[in-house]
Amino acid sequence: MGDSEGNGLRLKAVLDNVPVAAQWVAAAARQAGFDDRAVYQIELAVDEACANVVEHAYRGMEVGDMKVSYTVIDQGLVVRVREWGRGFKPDEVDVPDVTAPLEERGLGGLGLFLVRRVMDEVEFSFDPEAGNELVMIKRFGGEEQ
Amino acid sequence: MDIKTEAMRRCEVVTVSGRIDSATAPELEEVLLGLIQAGQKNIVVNLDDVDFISSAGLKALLSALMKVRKKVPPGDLVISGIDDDLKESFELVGFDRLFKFYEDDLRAVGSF
Repeated sequence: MGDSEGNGLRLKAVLDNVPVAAQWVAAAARQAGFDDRAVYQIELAVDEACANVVEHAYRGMEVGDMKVSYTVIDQGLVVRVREWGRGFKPDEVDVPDVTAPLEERGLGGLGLFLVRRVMDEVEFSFDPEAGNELVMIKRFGGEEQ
Repeated sequence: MDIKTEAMRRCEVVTVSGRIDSATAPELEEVLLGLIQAGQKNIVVNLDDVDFISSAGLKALLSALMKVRKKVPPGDLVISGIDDDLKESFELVGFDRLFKFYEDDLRAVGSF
């Protein structure tokens, strides 16, 4: 476990901490009034985002931290996942062809694809000093499809 | 996550419980690929007691499905006892077109 910073949780970017972060935000989402389906989707998005940090952000360098934080706003929940690793170009991540037959299926890009599908807004920012941040918004009663 | 396997006459039933995520999916994939390497090509994966599956878990299942379908004659990996939240993740990435779903093990095993 890492330090709890108000509504922020800073953890070492290792796999064991991914469910810690995801379930922490899911509990907050439930308390904020989201229904079971939306809570599941938020937990999924945070899990995928943190798993991507663990898998990619500190590749080839010393493993650093990830910080997950959330803010409840009138319209819903804003979740931020920050890391201080290599950064990447979201546009260059494989976009899976979800209609392809089995023999043409690739295995890349599914995590980020799911994040974009279940959350209402998804935005990345990259800053070598302040860190790289993924901001995700889930609206109350929002329709992500 | 917990995994139990049971050999039936025409297939293997793999019952998973708990959380299938980046940390646990490799273990599931290892069990499935172990069965396939040992000659099993028909597999039922029961997800009744799974409360969460991430893309890592979906990829582990897809990887095993690809391997059994490549067998000659082809085998299959089918899903039984899945709830709506989990099923939606399959649907979002188009996996509902690739896997067959059954309400319970009886029907899933009977499909082989």
